[in-house]
Amino acid sequence: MASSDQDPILQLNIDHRVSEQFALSLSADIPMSGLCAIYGESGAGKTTLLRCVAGLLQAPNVHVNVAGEVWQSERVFIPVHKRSLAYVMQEDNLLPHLTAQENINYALRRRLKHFSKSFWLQDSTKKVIAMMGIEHCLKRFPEQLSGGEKQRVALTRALLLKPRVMLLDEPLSALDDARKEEILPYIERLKSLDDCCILYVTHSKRELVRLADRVLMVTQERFALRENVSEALFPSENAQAKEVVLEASVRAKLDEWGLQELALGGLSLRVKNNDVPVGSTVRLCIAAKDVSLTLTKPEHSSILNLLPAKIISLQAMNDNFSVDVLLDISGRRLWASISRFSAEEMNLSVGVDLWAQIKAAAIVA
Amino acid sequence: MISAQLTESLLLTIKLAGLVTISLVFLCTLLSLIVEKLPSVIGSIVKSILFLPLVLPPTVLGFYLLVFFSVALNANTDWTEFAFTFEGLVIGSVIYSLPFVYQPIQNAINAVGQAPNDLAATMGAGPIDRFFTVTLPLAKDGFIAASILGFAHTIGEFGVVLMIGGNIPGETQVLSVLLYEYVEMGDYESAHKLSAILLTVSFLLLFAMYRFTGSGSSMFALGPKLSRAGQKQ
Repeated sequence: MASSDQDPILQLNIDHRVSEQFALSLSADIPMSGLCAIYGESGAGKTTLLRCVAGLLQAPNVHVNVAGEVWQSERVFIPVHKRSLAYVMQEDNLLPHLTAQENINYALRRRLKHFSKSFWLQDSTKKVIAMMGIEHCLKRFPEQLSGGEKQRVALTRALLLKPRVMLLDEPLSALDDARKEEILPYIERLKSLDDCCILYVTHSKRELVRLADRVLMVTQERFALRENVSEALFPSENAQAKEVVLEASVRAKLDEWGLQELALGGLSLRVKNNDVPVGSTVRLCIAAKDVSLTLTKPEHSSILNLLPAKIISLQAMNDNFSVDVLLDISGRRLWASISRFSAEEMNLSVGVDLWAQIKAAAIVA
Repeated sequence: MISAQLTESLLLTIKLAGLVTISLVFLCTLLSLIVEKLPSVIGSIVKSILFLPLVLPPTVLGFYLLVFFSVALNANTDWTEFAFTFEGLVIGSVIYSLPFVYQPIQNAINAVGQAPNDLAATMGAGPIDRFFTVTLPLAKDGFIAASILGFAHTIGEFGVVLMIGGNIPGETQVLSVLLYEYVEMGDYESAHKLSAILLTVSFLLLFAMYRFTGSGSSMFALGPKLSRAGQKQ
């Protein structure tokens, strides 16, 4: 068993045959901090996994150990209501016959040892309510709230409970794109909790890149925990429309140009400025189609980012007319998608040094 | 004289219907929770037995109850004391009205479904806690409908009462039996009065049920909320 003394972990060992065709089988030690996304194809049992952790599914061969506390094993089964968890599903996270505040109280009264009405008068509570922007929702019933407001109330409840494990099952998927954008920052705020493991099921790559500290990837019904989200998401050779996620740190702000400089290994990138402070880490998304190649360094170009690169491999694509080039840029890998015509004209081969021009790079987190 | 008899009978009927309704709401709630947990074959058998009073002539039920009471007489048990008493009427009525209380309660509990229960469990509520704070409030309409139907149906029973209760004023002479006596005696004026009372009360009870609980809770009209649960059965 792993060293659970130093770093608390959520230990999962599940071997559950759900039906003839389908078995949920995984083993993972997930650190009890930050957000672990569960990402991958649908029908792989992501929701079943969460229900197992919650204890809503009483399956055999399920072992759940939360920072040394056994929730479930061959002999132990702690019932759902005695597990220190919060669960937020796609929708219907509030009891319909109670107001938003009563819904929050329902959970607090049962979960917190010393709960009284004065809880709502505490500054820390008020801060959370203000941060989640639900002051105006508290006295209303769920049917009087919008989908986004309902999810925010449920997330606030989770935040106030300070559980050991937070289970979020595609909490944004029932919302339209504008609402998703509105709620994403609130989910980021859940990560401020200490000693809490957030399991976040999603099939949105955008949410994954934006939120995840680590990811439990599901491919062909196999779960694998990856500590590095950028690496985990690195497109394979045969993927269409490749997009690479890179982590970079903000080095300087170039306010007069509306730009900022990011450090990517030893190189620097200039992208549009935003309100991320200097020194923080951001994730960049670079699509292969936005990377072009040139053998000689262009002197006068409108393209901001010109990086020295070396070709690692060339991959002819299925359509026969394009070639995807895997590049090494100061130790980081990047894909460029160019036409087969250009590849032959430039006589590209493995090991060639050239320049990569990045036409667009979006900061996603 | 007649008016005093009517009042006595009316009070007796209300007492009977009230007692039966209260007993049935508790009994049926328990039963529906148990029956749902049974394996499907046994569940079907149990439900078929519970629902027999719906199709059997009340006289058959009354006859078997009488037989049961008299067998008990020979066996020298306390059950013998129930024939031709108010307590016997309560027992008979509970059996007779059971389907009318059971079905709306079960429909309503099914309609609440697993999701709110799971939600409450993740919020820290145990099974009993969940029943009182989630199932009961959400199935409230069904419980009201069940109570009204149970009450109204008990007022309306005749066959069972006559078989096991007879016609003893102040003990077993409920309104429906009193009406029969009026007609037999040719007292049509009192019969009219009583019939009108029963008609009005029955209408008002049903009106209250449909008006305030929505037809979804009744056993005769499966509303959209309940039809899903109904299909699953």
